[in-house]
Amino acid sequence: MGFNDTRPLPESGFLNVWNSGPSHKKGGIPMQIEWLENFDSALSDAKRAHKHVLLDFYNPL
Amino acid sequence: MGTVTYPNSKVIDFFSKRLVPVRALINSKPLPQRFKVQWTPTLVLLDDQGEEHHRTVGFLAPEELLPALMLGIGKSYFDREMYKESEQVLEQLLQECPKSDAAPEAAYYLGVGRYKNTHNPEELKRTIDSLQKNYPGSEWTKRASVYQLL
Repeated sequence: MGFNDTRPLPESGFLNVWNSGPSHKKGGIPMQIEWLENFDSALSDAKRAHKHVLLDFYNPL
Repeated sequence: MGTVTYPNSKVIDFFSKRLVPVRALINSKPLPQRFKVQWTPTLVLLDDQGEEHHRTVGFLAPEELLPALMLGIGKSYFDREMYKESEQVLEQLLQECPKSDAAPEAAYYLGVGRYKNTHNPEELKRTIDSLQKNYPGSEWTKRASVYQLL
């Protein structure tokens, strides 16, 4: 899937940040997608920011 | 998606501005069961109440992912009778990605949304005219064909 993270996956099935390195911004512009870990938190964030939630179901194999 | 699409700068920018993204393993609980997801990759677009309005199954390159997401957002607004918001995002899709796979459906919903907002049947006639001109082979043109009779 494009990253070399070898950490065991949590029971929840969620990954905190899907990337191969630390999340960062360059000049305030995001350099990668920052995936959320918790669905309910995502809904709260979406309400607050007037955004939509995108669920990405994937298979790591 | 991870190696080709998600690292794309336009995709990253769009996600940052419009979406709260969540990833879930297909064999996890409870989201795959709740949203009846059986295959990967599957993307499900929800409003901020957690209601589904659009989904895609299968790989999407950046040039198709962005219009697919815009279509989903447009349909989300349409479903909630937010016709001005729907019109805005669907117009953007058609302007920026007119040859995308999502474009014919976007053109359909744009026209239907305008009709719903104005109650003017001329909007439906304009819809079929536009679809026939720009997307003559599309299923959405077939679905709008009855508007020729108005």
